[in-house]
Amino acid sequence: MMIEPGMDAPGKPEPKKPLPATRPTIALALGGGGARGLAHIPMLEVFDELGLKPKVIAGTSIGAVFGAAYASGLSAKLIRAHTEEALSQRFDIVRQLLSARSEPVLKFLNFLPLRSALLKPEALLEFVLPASVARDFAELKIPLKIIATDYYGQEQTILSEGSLRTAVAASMALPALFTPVTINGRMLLDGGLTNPLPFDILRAEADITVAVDVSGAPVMPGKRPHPSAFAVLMASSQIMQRSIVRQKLMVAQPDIYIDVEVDAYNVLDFHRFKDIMAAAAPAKEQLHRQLERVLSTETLDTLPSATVPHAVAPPAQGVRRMRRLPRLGRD
Amino acid sequence: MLDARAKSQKLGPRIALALGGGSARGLAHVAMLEAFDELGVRPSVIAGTSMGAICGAAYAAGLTGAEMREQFTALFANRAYFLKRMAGKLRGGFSTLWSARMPGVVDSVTLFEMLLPEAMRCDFAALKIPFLAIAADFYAIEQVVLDKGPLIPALAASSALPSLTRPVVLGGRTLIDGGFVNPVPYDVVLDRADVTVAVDVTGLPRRRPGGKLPRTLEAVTGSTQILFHALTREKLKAAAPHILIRPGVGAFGAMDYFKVAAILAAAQPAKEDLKQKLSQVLAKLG
Repeated sequence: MMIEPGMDAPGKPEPKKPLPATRPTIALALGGGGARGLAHIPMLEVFDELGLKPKVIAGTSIGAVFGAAYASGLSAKLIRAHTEEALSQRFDIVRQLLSARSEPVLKFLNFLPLRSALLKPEALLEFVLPASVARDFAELKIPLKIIATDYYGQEQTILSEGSLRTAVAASMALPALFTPVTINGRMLLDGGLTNPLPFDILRAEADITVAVDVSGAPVMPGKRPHPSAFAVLMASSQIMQRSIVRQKLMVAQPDIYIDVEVDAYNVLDFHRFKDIMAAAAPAKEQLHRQLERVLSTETLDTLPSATVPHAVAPPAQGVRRMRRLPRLGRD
Repeated sequence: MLDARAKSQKLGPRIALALGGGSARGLAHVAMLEAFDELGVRPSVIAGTSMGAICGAAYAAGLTGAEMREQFTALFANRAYFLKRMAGKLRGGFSTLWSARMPGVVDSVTLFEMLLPEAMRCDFAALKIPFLAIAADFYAIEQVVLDKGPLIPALAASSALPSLTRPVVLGGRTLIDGGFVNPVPYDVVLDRADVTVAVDVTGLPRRRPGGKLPRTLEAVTGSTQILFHALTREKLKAAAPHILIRPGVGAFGAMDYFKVAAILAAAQPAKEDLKQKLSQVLAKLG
């Protein structure tokens, strides 16, 4: 390392340089979780309300859908209005198929010859995304990294160039519901299978990393301790995604971790838009508060920017809880 | 203090063994247990998930690897024998095992009581080697380490694969296959021994000829395997076992129990690998 002459002149007190009044840069990770991911919309609203623009966004599955819309420069309000409209009116066939309280979907599956296809995710996206969403990564206002899973490679793929819609389609290609998407000869499926909350790929990209977790937990149905067979099947991949997120949080934590309380909603509950928005309200408040705190800390000129990544401790409750290995009979 | 040190020196290094989940592919665990027998090394603690729990518990109950090979080979020699044996043991008829209304068709507690050897119908406390079974609490989405009480229900919980077998309710918790939270449970025994050996039998998706897309069901099971791999990969980032063995059984399906001979043959190179690595470690630790 080169030391410039005069820089460390002994005896001379180092002149205090006023830091430029810049705001910290923010990297935003939006996780996967099906319909629960509608809760990403209010989180994006927080950014608009505070006049903050993420420096980079990473998205998995539904997180990629809203990440793509927001990175295209659409306001969160517009995204909300479009999504609500799409889910309530124009979306009828798909909505019925998706929200058909599980069992009918399974029946539908059974009637089909067991080929790969059920829905083409690209076709669905044309329907769901506003027309003003960029066609290509190059047109985006905010750099976006989309997570998909390489089926045969058994690992995550980070998509950041080429056709945006194809990338989003790959990221949300949940097996059994959607056909896999082939990009550059690789067969890609839902990014949630390998990286349900992609904050780790944003490390060192910005001063502050914000992760929005919508992975949720299966909910106890009343008195019956036995969930239905289909519920267990659906929930098992949810449990694994949750386990992966927990494991990742043990290795590294984002600066701000928002665990949206959307456990009560199923992966396919797209018809419960208003309920999910209401359930996400406390998380929205939390993100607002935490981002404001970061911003106020950051404007103090005594704080060198190098210390920023840990200026705000992530709410470690969930992390601490999982470190304890519960044993039967202890309680 | 001195006594304890002398004792551990006399006994040699303590070895923890973690056997992962993988249904029929887990039959490969038998070959790994044979490796321990052949080296005359006895694990000081065993943790198992799903099929790994069944094999680990059998070993902890006193069965040798060779005995397990013999029993599994006989049990899965052919479908007719398997069904006959099951039917012969079902006093209350098939309805005790199957019920269309219950989640998951098979009641695994009943199934295991029928299929597992007498020696395993005991409590954890009666086992010759300390043993831990991993299950997943369905609603809390967390790992549950089962280490006391009757063995069979714990094994049933640890291997309650959704949609195939029913979840098992133990101590007020609804438990399913431990693979969903911890497919290769070496981390729960890392601090209980000097050397940790982990055996990972997670499958790999099979390619269809001509680059065709996988069938729907293939894609579903294939993606579950991806989740298992992703979970193990994240765990390895936090802490790794001293010896990690991946027997070459990835190409076998979860339900390929009747291919027991082929699975054990495919696991042979991994068995030799494990023997070599274990001997090296033991030689180093004296």
